[in-house]
Amino acid sequence: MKKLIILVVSVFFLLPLSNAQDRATFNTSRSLKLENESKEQHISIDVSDEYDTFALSIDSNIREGKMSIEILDPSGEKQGNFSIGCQVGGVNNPTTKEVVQGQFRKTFQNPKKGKWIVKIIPQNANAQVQIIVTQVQN
Amino acid sequence: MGYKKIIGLLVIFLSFNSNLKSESGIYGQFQLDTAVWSPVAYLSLIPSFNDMYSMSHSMIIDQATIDHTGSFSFSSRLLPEKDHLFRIHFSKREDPAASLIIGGKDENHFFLIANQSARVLIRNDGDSVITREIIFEGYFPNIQLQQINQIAAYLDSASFETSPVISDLIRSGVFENLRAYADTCSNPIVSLYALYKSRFESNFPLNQQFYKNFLLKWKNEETVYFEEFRKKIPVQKSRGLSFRILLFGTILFIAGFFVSLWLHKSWPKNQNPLKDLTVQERKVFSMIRKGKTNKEISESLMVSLSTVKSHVNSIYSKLEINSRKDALNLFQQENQAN
Repeated sequence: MKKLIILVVSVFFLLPLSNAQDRATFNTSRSLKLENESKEQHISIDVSDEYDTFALSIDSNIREGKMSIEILDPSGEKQGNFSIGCQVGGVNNPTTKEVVQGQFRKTFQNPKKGKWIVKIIPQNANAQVQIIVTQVQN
Repeated sequence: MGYKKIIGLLVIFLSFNSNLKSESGIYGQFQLDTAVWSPVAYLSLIPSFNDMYSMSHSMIIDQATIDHTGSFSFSSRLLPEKDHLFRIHFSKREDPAASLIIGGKDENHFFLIANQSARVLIRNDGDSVITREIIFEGYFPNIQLQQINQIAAYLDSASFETSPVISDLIRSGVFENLRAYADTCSNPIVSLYALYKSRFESNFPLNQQFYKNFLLKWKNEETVYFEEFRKKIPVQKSRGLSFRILLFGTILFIAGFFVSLWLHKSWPKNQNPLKDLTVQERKVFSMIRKGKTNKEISESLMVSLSTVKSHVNSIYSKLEINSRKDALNLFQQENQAN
């Protein structure tokens, strides 16, 4: 009886683990450092049929200038956006430090397949952006 | 001290206290993990719906310390006279004050509507996501704002549908509900908030009449929020009758000009220019051909000399000639042609 209980408990704990092992996860990360940058940049992310979950995490901070970030799905529809900006600080006012931070977190279940775009639109920006993409296969 | 004095003081205290509570302003009661979050609430003025997810120090107009009970308040003295959209956010201890987190378990902000005389009460329900379940009391437009957020939240459930068809149906249903809310809402900013949540940009080309009616309903709204919205909706304004008459007249004028030009070119030129002359002019012309002077013509026709000169000028003009010699040449050309 004791062995049976141990077996049942073991199966109970190991079953989800085995299922989790079946679910392939694909992570990518990209970091950008912008220095007095005003050129628009597009980061493209391929979401393929084999993944059912697409999680996007964007961390950004800015010390000078402005920066807008837009997330566009393969049909061009905006799925999120934010912008951050500084008026003082940076190279011109090194004594006054002002940092502004923006973070974006979103998980898309059954996302549109194709090329997603993270559009970064800086204006004289001294900034850092990190994009982390997680795709999970069911 | 007599009991009458105590009662009197109590009455004064209670009335003072109730006055305090009924004062306009923004009053919050939040449960925050102060090990993670700084005990400060920041109030930002959102100048336009495009800036809902913008963050900069210049947008922050006030900050309030959160006390050990989780209470904080913003005085109404910095608030504008009319309704505006605001954002309250909290920052993590290690993050800068101007820090915006959108989505996820650390989402740190929410929106509200306030003005100088509004009294807004806010509290969270102690959820692990501090801004997930915000409960508004007091100023009614915020309760409406929350209802809109609840409708829009169904969009997240749409993404969990495995069937794209069902997912699209949920999405279009949610957007339709938001448009209906916008259509029936009596507060202009709340109404516009609902439209922005409905992603009107993609719906506008399919549903132009709705947006025309919406703009007509709020035609007297001159806030920045509506000015910005009008720029995004390229609905042609209905022009007055005078404009239409002017347009019609201009078209007629241009058409008339081209028609007359065409007729002038296409009609054959008069083969016998003498047909344009009056009877009297023909008489004068025949005498010119015979070499008679103006005076002789005057005597012959028994008219004054000035009348003859007038006839001669008219003949020159009609026949496009400049002298008696030209008149004779014209006569010779005509004879040769015949």
